Amino acid sequence: MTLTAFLNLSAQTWSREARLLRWLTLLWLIIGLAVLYSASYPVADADYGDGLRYFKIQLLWVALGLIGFQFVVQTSLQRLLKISGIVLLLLVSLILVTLMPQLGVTVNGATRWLALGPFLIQPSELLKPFLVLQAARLFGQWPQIPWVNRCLWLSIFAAVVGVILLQPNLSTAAVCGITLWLIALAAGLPYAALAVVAGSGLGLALVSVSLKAYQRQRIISFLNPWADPAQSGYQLVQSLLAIGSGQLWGSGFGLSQQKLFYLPIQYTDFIFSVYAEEFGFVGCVALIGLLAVYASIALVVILRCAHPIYRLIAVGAVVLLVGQSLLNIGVAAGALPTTGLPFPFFSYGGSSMISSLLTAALLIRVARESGEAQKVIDLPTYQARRVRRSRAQGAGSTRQHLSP
Amino acid sequence: MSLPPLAARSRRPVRKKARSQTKPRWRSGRYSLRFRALLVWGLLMLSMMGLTSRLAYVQLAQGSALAQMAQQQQQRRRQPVQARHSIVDRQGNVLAVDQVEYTLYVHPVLFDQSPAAIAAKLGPLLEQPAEQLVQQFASQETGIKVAETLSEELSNRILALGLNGLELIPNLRRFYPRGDLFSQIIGYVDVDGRGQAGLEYSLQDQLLLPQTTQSQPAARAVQEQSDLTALLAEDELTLHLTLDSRLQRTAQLSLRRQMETYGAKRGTVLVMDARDGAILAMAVEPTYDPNRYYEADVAAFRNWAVSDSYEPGSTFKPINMAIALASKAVNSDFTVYDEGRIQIGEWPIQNADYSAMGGRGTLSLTEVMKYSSNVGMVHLMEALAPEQYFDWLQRLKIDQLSGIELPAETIGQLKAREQFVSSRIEPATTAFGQGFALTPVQLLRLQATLANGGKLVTPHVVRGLSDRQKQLKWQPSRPQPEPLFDLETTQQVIAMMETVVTDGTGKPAQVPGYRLAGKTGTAQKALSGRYIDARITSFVGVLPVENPRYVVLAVVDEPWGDDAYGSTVAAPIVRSVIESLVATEGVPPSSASPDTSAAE
Repeated sequence: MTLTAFLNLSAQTWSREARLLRWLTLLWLIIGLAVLYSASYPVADADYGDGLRYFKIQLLWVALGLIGFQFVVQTSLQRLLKISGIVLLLLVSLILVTLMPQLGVTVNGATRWLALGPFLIQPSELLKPFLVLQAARLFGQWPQIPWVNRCLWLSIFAAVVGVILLQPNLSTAAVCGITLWLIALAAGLPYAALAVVAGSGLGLALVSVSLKAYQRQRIISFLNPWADPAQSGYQLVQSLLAIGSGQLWGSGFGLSQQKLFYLPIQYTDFIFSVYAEEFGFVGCVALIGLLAVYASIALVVILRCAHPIYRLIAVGAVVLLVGQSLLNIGVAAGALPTTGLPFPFFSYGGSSMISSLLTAALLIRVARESGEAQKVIDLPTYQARRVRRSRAQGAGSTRQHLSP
Repeated sequence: MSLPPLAARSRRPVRKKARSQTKPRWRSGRYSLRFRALLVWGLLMLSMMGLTSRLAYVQLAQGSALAQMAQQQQQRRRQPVQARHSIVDRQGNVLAVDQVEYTLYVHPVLFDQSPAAIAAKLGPLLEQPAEQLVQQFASQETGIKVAETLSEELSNRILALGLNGLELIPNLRRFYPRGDLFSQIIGYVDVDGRGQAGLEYSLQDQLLLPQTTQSQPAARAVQEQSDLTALLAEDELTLHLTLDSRLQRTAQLSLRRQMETYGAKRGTVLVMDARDGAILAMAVEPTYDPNRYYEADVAAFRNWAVSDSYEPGSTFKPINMAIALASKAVNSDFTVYDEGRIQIGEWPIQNADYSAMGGRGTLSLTEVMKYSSNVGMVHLMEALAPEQYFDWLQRLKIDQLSGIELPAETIGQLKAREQFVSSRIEPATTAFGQGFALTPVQLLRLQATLANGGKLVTPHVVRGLSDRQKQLKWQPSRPQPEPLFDLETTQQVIAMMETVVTDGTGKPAQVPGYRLAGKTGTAQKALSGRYIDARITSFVGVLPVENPRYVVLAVVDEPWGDDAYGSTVAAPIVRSVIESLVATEGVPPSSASPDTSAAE
C-alpha cells in the first residue's frame, strides 16, 4: 500500500489537470525523498549509527500519508467538507493538549508535539488541510452568510492561529494566517477589509516583536547574520554558505559538505540549503520551476472550477504547498527571518508529510471534480447542489452546517 | 472580461442575487473571482521571481566567496586534533600525554527545569556561584559556553545529573605534566594539533596515532570525538626518551639559580651517557611552559643548545690536546715554553692570568691543561701542520649536523681551508677554542669521545616507540659511531683534565668521593666579527675518571660581574648536577680518589 496506491485506480478517467497534478506531486515527493536521503544520512549515521534511519521512518510516513491521499482523492469534496469541521475542532483541541505541560512534548524550545507511541505528531501541521477546507467553506459563501456566523467562524480561525502562536509556533501560525488571507482574497472579499486584516496582522507582529527580545534578536540577526556568525546568525550563515557553495551547477547529489557538521537541522527546516548546495543554481531554478508549473496547473484548475467553495479549496491547497515551500526557501536564502518551517515533501517529519499529501490530494480532488464534471458526472452547479442537498437533508441552506 | 462558458452559465443566478444585495462590484472587473485567482497565482509567481534572483545573487554573484568561506571552515573542522602517543622519560614518567577534556555548552531553550534549579545543581560542580550561572543562562537561548577544559571525571559527574539542555563537547588536549621542564626537548602542540617545536614537531609522523580510515572526513571526525577516550585507552605505543626527570630538574634548577645570581642571558646544561650518546638531561634557559605556549616569549621557543653556535674557548682545549696526541705530532712527554704573551702578526695572544702570573716558562702538557695556558696551546698546536690540523677539525664534524632528533639544529662554523692554512693566526686562535663556532651539543659530543675511548657517537634524546611489554617498535636510525681518537690518547687527556679539578680552575666542581675530570672555559664573545666585552662561561666535566662514562657540560651566556668565570659560574652547576647524577645512575664512589679526598 505505498506507491502502488498512488499509481493505480481510476486515474485514466481523471481530468488532464488531475492526472498532471498527481504526477507532479509524485515527482515532488520522489525528489524530496532523494534529497532527504542525502541530507539526513550523515546526521543519522552520527546520531544512531544508521544513516538510513530518518529515510526509513520517512518512508513509513509516506506510506501512511498515501493511504490518506488515496482516501481524499476518492472521496467527494462534499463529504470531506462535512467531516472537516469536526476534524478541525478535534485537532485544535489536540493543540490545546500540547499546551498542557504534562502532555506536550518540547523539542527545540517549542511545545508542538504529542507523543504517539514512539512517534511525535504535530497537530498544528495536520490541521492545515482542514483549515483550508473550513476557510473555503466560509469564504466561498461569504455573501450569503449572516454576520453572526461570519464573526463566529472568523473568531474560530483567529483562535486557531492564536493557539498555534501560543505553542509557540510563529511560522505555522504565519502560514495559516497567510493561507486564510489568500483564500479570502481569492474569494473576492473587499480589498478594504483584506487590507485592514493584513494591517492589523502586521501591527500585531510589530507589537510582538517589540515585546519579545528573542524575536527582535532574530530579526536583527536576519538582517545582518554576519554580525554574529557564531551565535545568533549561525543558522543563517551556515545556510548561506551551503547555498552559496552550490554555485551554478552544485556539488552533486550526496556531496554537500555543509550538511556534515555545520548546517543545523539540515534534514528538516534547512533541507533546501542541502539541495541548493548539491544541485546549484540550476537545480534551484528547476525546483522553483516545478513549483511554478504546479501552481500554474492549480491556477488552471481554479479557473476551470465553477464551484465557489471548491475553487477556494484549490487556492488554499496550492498556497499551503507552493507558498510554504517558497517561505522555506526564503528563510534558507536569508530573504525572510529565520523561523522553523518544513519544506513540503522534503523535510523529515510525519505530520508535515501526511499534511502535505492530504493537501495535494485535496487539490487533485478539486481538479477531478471540476474536470470530470464535464465528461463523467456532469458536475452539478452550485445552485443545483444546494437544491439537491436541501432536498436530501430536508434542511435549508449551507448556513446550517456552517454553524458549529 | 470573459468567464468560461461553464462558469458563466453556473454563476448567472448568483450574480443576479449579488446585485440584488446591492453589491454591484462583486465578481466583475478587478473584483472578479477570476482576477482574484490570478492575483494569488501572481503573488506566488512574483515570490518565485524574487527568490530566484535572491538565489542568483547568493549562488552566482557571491557563490565563489561563500564557497571559499565554507571550505575554510570545513578545512578547519575536517582535520580534528589528532591523537598522539604519550612521551615518557627513561623511568616511564609521563612527560606528554593526550587528555580528553570537555567544553560545556548550555542551551537554556532545551531546559526542562527552571534555570535557577539547573544553576543550583551545576554551580557546585563548576565551582561557580549559581546566580552567575543564571545570569549567563539568560544571555542567550542556545549555545552558551559555560566552562572549558573540564576533566573527564567532572564531565561524567555533570552527565550524571541527567539535565536536559547541557552539551559536553569532548576535545583532545596535549598535557605536559612537567610544565616547562622538558619543553625545549618535547616542544608543544598548538591548538590545531600541529607540533610546533621540539620532538612534537620533528617526530610528528611517529607520534601521531594512525587515522581511522573513513571516506567521509567529517564523519571520521564525529566518530573520533565519540571514541576519543577509547582511542587513547587502546593506544599501545609510547615514545621513550633517554632523559631522566630527576636529573633534568636538578640541571634546570641549578642553571636557573646560577643564571639569576649572575644575571645571565641564557644557559644550558647537558648530560650525556658517552657510551652511546644518549642525553640524560638537557636544561635550557630561557624556556617556556608548553601548556601555556601562547603566553611565551617567541625567543624562548628556540633551543639554543642545538640551534646556536658559539666560540667554545678553553673547554675546547682537551679536544685540541687529543688531536695533538692522536696525530702523533707530540707525545705525552712533550713540553712547551709559555712566554705568557706572544704576538702573531698584528694579534697579541696572552694567557688569561698573564697580568697576575706573567710567563709560566716550560710546561708539561698536563700543566698546559691545568693552567689553561693559551700560549702553551698555541705552541702545542704549532706542532701540527695547519693542513693536518684542519683535516682533524673536519673529522670532528663541526660543520655537520650532529644528528640529534631535535628540530632546527644548526651546524658549527669553521674557517675556509685556504684561510686556515695560509694565516698563522687561525690555527693559533683555534688552539685555545676561538675563531670557530659550534653548538653546545656538538661540543658535548666531542667531549664524549674522551669519555668513551674515542668514538664519535650521535647525541640523541629518543630511545624509541615501544609497546606496553617494553618491546621497541620503532627506533630512529643512527649511524655507527666513528672512531676518532685512540683509547690511550683519551685516557691521557682525561688524566690531564683530572688535574684541572684537583688543582686547577675546576676545583668548584669537585664532588666528594668521585674522581672527576674537567675543564673550564671563559671565552670572549664576538659580535659582527669583533670581540666585545661580554663572555660566555662554561665547564665540562667527565666522570668517573677510572671508568669514564658521563659527560656534563654547562654553558652560561653573558653572566655579569668581574668574578664571572667558567670556574665560578658554570662549575658549581656541574657539581650539583653530578651529585644528582651519581645518585640517579647509581655510580659507585671511586675506590681510589686520593686527590679529591685530599681536597676536602
